[in-house]
Amino acid sequence: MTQSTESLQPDNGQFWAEAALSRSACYRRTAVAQPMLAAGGQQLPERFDPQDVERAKKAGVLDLSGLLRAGYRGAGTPELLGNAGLPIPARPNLAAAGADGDWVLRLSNTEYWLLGSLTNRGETLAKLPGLDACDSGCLDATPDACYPLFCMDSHGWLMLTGEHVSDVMAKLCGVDLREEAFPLGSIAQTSLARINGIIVHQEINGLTAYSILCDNASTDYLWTALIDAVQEFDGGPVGLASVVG
Amino acid sequence: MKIMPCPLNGPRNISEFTFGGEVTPLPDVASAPDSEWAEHTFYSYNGTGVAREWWYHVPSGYWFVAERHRVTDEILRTYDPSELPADALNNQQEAFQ
Repeated sequence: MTQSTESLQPDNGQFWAEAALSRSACYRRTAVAQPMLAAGGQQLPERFDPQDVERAKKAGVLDLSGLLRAGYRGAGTPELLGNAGLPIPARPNLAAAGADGDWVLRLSNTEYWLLGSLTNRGETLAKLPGLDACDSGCLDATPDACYPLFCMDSHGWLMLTGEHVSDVMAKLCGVDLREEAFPLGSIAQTSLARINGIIVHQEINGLTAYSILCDNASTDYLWTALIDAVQEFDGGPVGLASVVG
Repeated sequence: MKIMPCPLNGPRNISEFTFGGEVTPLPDVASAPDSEWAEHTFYSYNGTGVAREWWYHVPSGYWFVAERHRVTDEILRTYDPSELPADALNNQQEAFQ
């Protein structure tokens, strides 16, 4: 998708809903942000206001639901990851970053989820095979015993950033997510704010970041829960530009 | 809150789990009479001792086996179903008494 952000806006500065291929489940919460497009044509919030960067350093909440993510399950998945030049985490509940900034999450012995790079807005993942759910031949595109999972359609993706991420999570989740118990690259599949979610400890441009993947239907609720939780740390919503510069 | 040690995810609140019933052998689908299916479907062991049970960790979609004492409710051991002993699905009640 080569469309520029400028061309997506009518005269009154509003973003046309039709301009993006799809929107996040909590798009109403980020409607005031300057929009941008991911590699696949989905809508992402680029910037809320000039204080984005400051909030991102304390406790930012970023809606990345429009950014490409994918999943594969089966014994043949390491072959696919190897062919794509992506890392293979050593054991379940570990995550590893690829050269382009994509992340590979190992959720069980044979299930892997991939999170698109914030820097290139998911361009690398868009080249992976079998990700078009409408393509009846999607299974033929992957190695034997490697089955695509369409987690982009089933799960939303929110990200908490900044120095207070573990303090914020302590208010929402019963699992110890402090740095010493939950180091970089750890994954916790657990309950947070009374819904199920996958929490990943990442680092984006030197900034601590916890990605949270939850059911699409719960994403809007989780957004409100996170925004409420970051208030005491002077945090709030942030756009993608505040994290990737 | 009671804590369940999940073999995949580590210790978690019991509210994250769903009970899946005892680990019992499936009747022969081709030849088992109705009475055997009724026994399998509707009846469960009601004594004391150690139970071997299916449990499901909902956030990660993971089924595993837990051994729990029916009197103390203590969870003695949890493990992946691939570690079930070969005779686990046969005569399990006798094996635990």
